[in-house]
Amino acid sequence: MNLNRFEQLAWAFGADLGRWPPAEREAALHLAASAPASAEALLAQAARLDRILNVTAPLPVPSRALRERIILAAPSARAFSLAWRWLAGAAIGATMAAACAAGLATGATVGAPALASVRLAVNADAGDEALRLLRDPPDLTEG
Amino acid sequence: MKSPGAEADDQLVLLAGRGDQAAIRTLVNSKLPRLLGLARRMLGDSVDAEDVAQETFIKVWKFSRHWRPGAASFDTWLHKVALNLCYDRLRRRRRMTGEPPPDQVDEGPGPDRNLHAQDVGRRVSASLAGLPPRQKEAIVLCHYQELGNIEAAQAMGVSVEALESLLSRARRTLRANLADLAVDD
Repeated sequence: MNLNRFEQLAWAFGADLGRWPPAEREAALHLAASAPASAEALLAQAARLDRILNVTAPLPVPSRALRERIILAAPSARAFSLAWRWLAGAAIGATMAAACAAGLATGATVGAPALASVRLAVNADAGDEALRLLRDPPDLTEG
Repeated sequence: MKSPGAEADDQLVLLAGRGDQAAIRTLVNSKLPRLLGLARRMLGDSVDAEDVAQETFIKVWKFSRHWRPGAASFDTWLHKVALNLCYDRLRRRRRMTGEPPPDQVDEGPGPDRNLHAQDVGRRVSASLAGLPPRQKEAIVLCHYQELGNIEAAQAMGVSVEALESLLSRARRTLRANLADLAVDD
């Protein structure tokens, strides 16, 4: 680090080296040790502004009313426990719904071959009837 | 790696999210004064500052249950939320008046003025208020809120180099405006 960079950092971050970028602190300390008079003069200049900035108009102290308003708006343990109960209820409901859905899916899977065989039986019956009709056509002239 | 203070904050936020009253009170007591100071310096108005502090905590309560202690510290996140709310208000003011918010006038050096601490404080506050918003933000975060430069840069959403540039410009202006003031050690 050279004196120019030291000056830039003092301008930006003030006289307290603890506020300087951590990556440059060690180099700054080395420079301050190697050129103490120049470094001290720059830090003194920065410290003067730091002191002036510390004298600001007094800041408002948080009122009791503001504190209480903020605390009243905070989550309550009851709301947290209700939320957990709701979540637990929702989880149970979801599990039951999932179980029903699984049951339906199983029923459909197991039932599908049975339905298919009924359909085949119906088709087979229809085929037999067609053959019988071909063999013995009904007498449509009879009145 | 987080500091012990930042880890304690994470724990408090998680407990607050579960409705732990002691954690809620500890968080309010430890964070509210600094938050109010930040908003007051950014907005220059006590009523608006109280509103911002309250809105910030409402966001804290909202997110506390889902807070995930990650790389960013709670304190940095808190400052970021508060700054965004301050900027919302400053934008609203600008829309209503059609121009930048009226900053307090810096009276500048006066002849033979014997300034007391209160007067010095008023001068400093006025000079601070007269800075461009981003420069003011940088000074408020680094000098008054005492955030480290990495945390301040994160809260502002800029690089550390950009923060340095903002601070440097701000301090030069303040030094020029307050050149006549003398403060004892």
